[in-house]
Amino acid sequence: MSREVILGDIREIMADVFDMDVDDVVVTPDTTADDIEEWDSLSHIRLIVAVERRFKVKFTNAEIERLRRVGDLVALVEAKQPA
Amino acid sequence: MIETPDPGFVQGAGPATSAVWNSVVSVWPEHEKFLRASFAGRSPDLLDTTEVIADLLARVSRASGKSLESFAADYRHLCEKIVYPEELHFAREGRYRLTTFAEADREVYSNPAVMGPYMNGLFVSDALWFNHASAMNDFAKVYLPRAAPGGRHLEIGPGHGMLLHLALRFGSFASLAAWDVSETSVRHVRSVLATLGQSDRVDVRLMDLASDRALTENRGRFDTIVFSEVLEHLERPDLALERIRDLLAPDGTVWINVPANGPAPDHLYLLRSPAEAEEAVRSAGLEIVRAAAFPVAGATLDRALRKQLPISCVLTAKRA
Repeated sequence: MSREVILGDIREIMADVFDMDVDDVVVTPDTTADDIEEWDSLSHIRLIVAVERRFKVKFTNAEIERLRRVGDLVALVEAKQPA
Repeated sequence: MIETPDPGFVQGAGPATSAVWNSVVSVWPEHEKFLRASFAGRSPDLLDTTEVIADLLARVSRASGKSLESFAADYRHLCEKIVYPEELHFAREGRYRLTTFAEADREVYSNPAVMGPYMNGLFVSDALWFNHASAMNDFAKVYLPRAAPGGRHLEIGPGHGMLLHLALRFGSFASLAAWDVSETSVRHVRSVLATLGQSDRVDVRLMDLASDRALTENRGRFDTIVFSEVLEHLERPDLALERIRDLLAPDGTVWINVPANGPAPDHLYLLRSPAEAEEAVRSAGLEIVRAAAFPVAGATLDRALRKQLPISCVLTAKRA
């Protein structure tokens, strides 16, 4: 699965978790919580768990704490995909 | 780059509130976004109650020699190390992690390394979290003014003493009592009351709500009962509510505050909505007089229900 596909899927998940119209979710690898009003600490947890479910992966607490940019999340999902 | 806010960060907020806000932002700059959402649109009444809470925190801080920054550090620890892991478990599994009082006792109540920062952090959260402050405000500005003067008041599980402080300040009771099953909590509440110079106003005692003595000595005794953030800690919340019904005077009312979707390391009883809370109260032979629901900061009630986010459910009830 390419990074572009993962990023596209994460964008759809973000729209659902943050209760936004998907067209209003502008996401690049550099997007952080500072760029999206609805992205707070609680919705961050919901986002992480929704991503875990979608890609059938599980993140450790340390990995979750380190996540800042959407690009970090994409890279983590990519690294956990079966070879 | 996040700037430290001026003390006048939100119109109408008082100096004690500003001091708590600044202490938290100084130890946790990234949290300012949450705080702004949590204070957006607070009414003058809510800001006033927030200031009363923050002022009590400041007085306890001075009396204990523990700085506001230290309370703020405990608050950060509460959020990041105690609550967020439980939120993660709840989001993944759809249930609270623990199911028995013995587990909660071992992990939290009998563990000073957890219990200390946990209680201090919750104290700060009463001022900063929209849902917590709103529940306190409901008690101070809606429930207490409707309570007939000269009544007998009881709080079960007084925690850090905030609601007793509000009852003393905004109520006009003939007598006030507080029961707790924890000797540590009893000592803590007594020390808070001593800080306020109110030790002789409240009969704080070790008493188990479930004990025979609690009922035989107090059946039908109380005009107002406070049961705030206790129900979720119990294995048998149904029995506790039935007992409270029996302690109420014929025209007495109980003010209940219980979280829906509020995971914490010592929460056992999961309610998923205010409707479920109301049903639990009705099942115990109580009649709902008034209900209010306060979602977590930044969420509407509708969104909190759909996304299973925390909601403080406040219910006033009387004997059916």
